[in-house]
Amino acid sequence: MNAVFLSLDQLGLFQIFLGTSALTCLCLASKRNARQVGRHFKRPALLSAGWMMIAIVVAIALASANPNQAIVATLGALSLSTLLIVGLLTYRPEWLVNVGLYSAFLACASLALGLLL
Amino acid sequence: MTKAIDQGSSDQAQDAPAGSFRQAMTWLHTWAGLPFGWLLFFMFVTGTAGYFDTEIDRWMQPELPPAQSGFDVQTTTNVLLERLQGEAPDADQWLLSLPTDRNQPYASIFWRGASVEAGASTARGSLTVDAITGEILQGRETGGGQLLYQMHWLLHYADRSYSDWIITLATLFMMVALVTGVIIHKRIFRDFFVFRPGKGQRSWLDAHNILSVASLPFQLMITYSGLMFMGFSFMPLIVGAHYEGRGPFYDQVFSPPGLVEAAGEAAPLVPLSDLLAEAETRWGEDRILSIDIRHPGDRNARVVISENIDASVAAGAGRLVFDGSTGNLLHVAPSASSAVKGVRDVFLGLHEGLFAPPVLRWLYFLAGLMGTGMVATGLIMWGVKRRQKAERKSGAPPPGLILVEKLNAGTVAGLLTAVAAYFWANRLIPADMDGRADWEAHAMFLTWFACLIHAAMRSRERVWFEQVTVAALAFISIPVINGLTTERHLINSLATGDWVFAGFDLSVLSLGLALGCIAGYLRSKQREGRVSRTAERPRNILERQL
Repeated sequence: MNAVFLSLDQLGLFQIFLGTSALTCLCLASKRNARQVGRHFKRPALLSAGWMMIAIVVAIALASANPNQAIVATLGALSLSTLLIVGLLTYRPEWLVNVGLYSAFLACASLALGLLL
Repeated sequence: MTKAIDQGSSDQAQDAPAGSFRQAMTWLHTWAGLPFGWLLFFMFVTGTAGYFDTEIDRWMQPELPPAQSGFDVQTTTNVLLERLQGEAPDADQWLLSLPTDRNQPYASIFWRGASVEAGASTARGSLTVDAITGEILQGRETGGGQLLYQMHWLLHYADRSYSDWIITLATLFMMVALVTGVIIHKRIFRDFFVFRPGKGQRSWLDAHNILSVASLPFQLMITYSGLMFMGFSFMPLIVGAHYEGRGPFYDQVFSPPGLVEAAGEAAPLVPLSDLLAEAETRWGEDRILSIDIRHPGDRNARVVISENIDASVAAGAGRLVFDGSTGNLLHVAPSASSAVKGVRDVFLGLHEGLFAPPVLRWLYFLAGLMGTGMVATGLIMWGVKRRQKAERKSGAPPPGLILVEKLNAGTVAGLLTAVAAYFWANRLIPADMDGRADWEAHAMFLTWFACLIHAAMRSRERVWFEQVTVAALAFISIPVINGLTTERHLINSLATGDWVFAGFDLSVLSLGLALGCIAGYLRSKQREGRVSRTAERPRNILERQL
């Protein structure tokens, strides 16, 4: 079997959660998007956090599946996360920061559960 | 500030200076997308449904039991072999497909070249069989999810001799539209999360951009791999230059190695247990997908055991070829016989997504929906943009614009109703009616045709609301019809943990509710339009008097 870390399904869920958190950071690093949320953030910190989380998403994927499956899972999860963030930013901007935070917690929880199960 | 943001945003069609490269690409993007747009929408809708083809198959045959995977391979093989010996004696080929996973929920057998004189039911045939008892599993006659997804490249009523070319051209145009779309989108990263609703053409452009950019890797992959699927059809001369026709080429590249003609000398088929054990030693337990027996009962019999493909993305399976009369292992054929075939297998596997477990399958489905939305928003935007221009000028709108608008409504909303009609027909056409599978498909295309006629007859203001409302009702009522016509209704499925049926019913219900929300939004827009027209009327009269 190729899965050595998380199963493909566990990996997909983990990536959706951490991908949402990562893309929320990258989204709010843009001044225009931050203005829509009505808050001010430290841009370099958000950019670093966002790209670091993307790197973790990719690293866990490569550790869990063969490279082809890892790429498919990563891009699929990031597509869903993007749609979610666009929807929130447009219609519920005040929720975006919390969704970004909670999804990071959910990512940690799903990773821990995946490792334990 | 918002105004400044709006003005500074990407309106690729208008920002490019006249005669520039970007303007040329904009022109190409617009006109490459339009001619095949409705066909591409059809391909995306039916292809996206195809990611749940097996689940749709099972919903469309409610008589069949739950999936039978997980049984002992040796026992199931013996059951299937016994069935084939009785059903198809003296055959050229027996194929035993084992119930391994989601892709193959039931055991099945296929045979060809059997002798009717020796007692075969038919010379060629296939049956779905109970993995334990060997009894035939007979559901209602239906095209199922397979027919629905096959439509996305066979076009159902079309002949392969020209449908392959139409599909290839559409896919090529899609590739051109994707590449030019990337070139003309000036702010891919800056506008990555930007959607501005309620701004007419700008909103459609934002939606089109988000759907395209967020799923761009999928769209590029699905289009490029689609072209690879059709490569032998639209580039026949490459094969023709090296082989006498496609037959020898397919034999060399795709057939298992070491197959020979029958010797015409009887020899008993070796017991399969040792062969299966050898395969399981190499691949692990429960990894056998199928057993293909050529010339059973002949001295030159060959047994080809294929590996399940769910461990990798690639579509090709590893195979072991045994001598069917001695049991000797003759060839160990890897899934990719060459690096080139390996690349092709990966792209085809990526396209089909057969390896994907549930979460990844849903992501595939979502990416397919985004592609569907991308095509739909592109088509609608074409009309919205030209409608705005036409309204600025006096006189009647051009007939081309009216044609596109009507085709848009009749296809984008109408095809969804047509797919719902396909499922309706499955439940409402009598289960024992001759040719019912054909009529399920006829119901789908007749409904689409009716929607196109409706779109042609109704005014632009009303047609979308009416069509989307019908589509919403058509999908919402599917679980109701299922509940009224079968025992496997939603409550029962949820209670028994039948997630294939519950998943299907909940999915169509969600789709219907989403369409209902869109219909509600269209209704409110329609009312707003009426109010604003009424408000404008006295002003216009006043202006004319002045």
